Amino acid sequence: MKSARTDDELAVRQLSLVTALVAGGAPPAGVDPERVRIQTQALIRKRSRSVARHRPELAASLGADFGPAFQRYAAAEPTPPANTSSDAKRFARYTRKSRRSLLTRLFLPSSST
Amino acid sequence: MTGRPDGLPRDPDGTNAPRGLGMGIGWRPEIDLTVPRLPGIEWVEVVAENVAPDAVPASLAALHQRGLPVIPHGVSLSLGGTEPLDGKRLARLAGLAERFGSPLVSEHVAFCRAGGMEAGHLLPVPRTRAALGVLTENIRAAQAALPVPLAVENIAALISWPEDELTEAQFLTELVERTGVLLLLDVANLHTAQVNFGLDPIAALDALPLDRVGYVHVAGGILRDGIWHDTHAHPVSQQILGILAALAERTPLPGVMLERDDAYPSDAELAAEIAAIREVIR
Repeated sequence: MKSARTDDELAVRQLSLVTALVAGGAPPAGVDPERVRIQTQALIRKRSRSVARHRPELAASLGADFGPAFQRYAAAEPTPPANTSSDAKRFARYTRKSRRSLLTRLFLPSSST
Repeated sequence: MTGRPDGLPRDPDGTNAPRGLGMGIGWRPEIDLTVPRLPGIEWVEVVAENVAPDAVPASLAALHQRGLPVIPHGVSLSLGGTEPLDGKRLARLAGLAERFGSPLVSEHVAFCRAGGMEAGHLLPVPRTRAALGVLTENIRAAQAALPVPLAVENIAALISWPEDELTEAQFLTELVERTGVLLLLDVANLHTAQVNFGLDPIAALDALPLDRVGYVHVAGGILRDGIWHDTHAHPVSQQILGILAALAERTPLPGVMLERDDAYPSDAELAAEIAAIREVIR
């Protein structure tokens, strides 16, 4: 029979892994941190492929920068939204904002921080 | 559980194994026009999260109309999670099984969320007695809510837990014994476990209750820095076909399907890959 205590321990361990993967938490004790890093990267790649399939025109407009741009977005907003469509929307907003801030830096150097 | 579950294709020689699906493929919107043209496809699996029972895409409805069995495959039920199952996800699986008259539905031995956060990925549960308890409870709840038998799949993992007490084969066997659940055996994921954790796939085949296999997944992946990534976006490797061959030597296979989710090749390449799998299981 399972006990409430062992279920709690399991819940804590699972939360610790999910936090490490999508919310910048430390890897769970005893789990290879390098593997956690690889899993995080795999998750980001999977998200980026889904977003590219969902919004091919967005991926095309970014061309070769799509992958790196998605990496920057995922680093800034590591917690994936509930579905690909929200992920794509948030990524599109992120790229618009980055483009604006890049233009601001280029053309208004004194006002940038 | 001793008898075979109802609703599965009957085996003419009366053994316990659910048989008869034959060769299938994962139906995806991106290849919806390719699937009907592929020679020798006898059934399809659909990702439950991507198809609503009351809004089935016309191309899929047409395949079903032609008599191809459609098997709903859930990816987000989180059977290994400590939180209660989401009734809506469960109802979706049940609704699809009703819509298509499916012989069975499938999910994973995994968790994919915790504390209200979505991992966006199938994650391995620690193979402990506590996790067995949680999975047993969730699988029973799912079985009670589903109109057809449930099969659960071994996942492709990149990480493992230091508290693991059982091998994957022991863990799956225990789940089968406790709940009567069927197995969706993914031979690519056995290969993944071999590369990433040094687990012998043949030893796993010899330890698993192969008469409880509902169907089999085959998929391609890629080796990156010594780690196997089960991408479903690369061709199926010879090693994975080798595990499939070893499985086919041990048991009559109820149904085998190719999963391809991305970087879709030409129709001809996909057909060749199907033919290569068929050759192995013949």
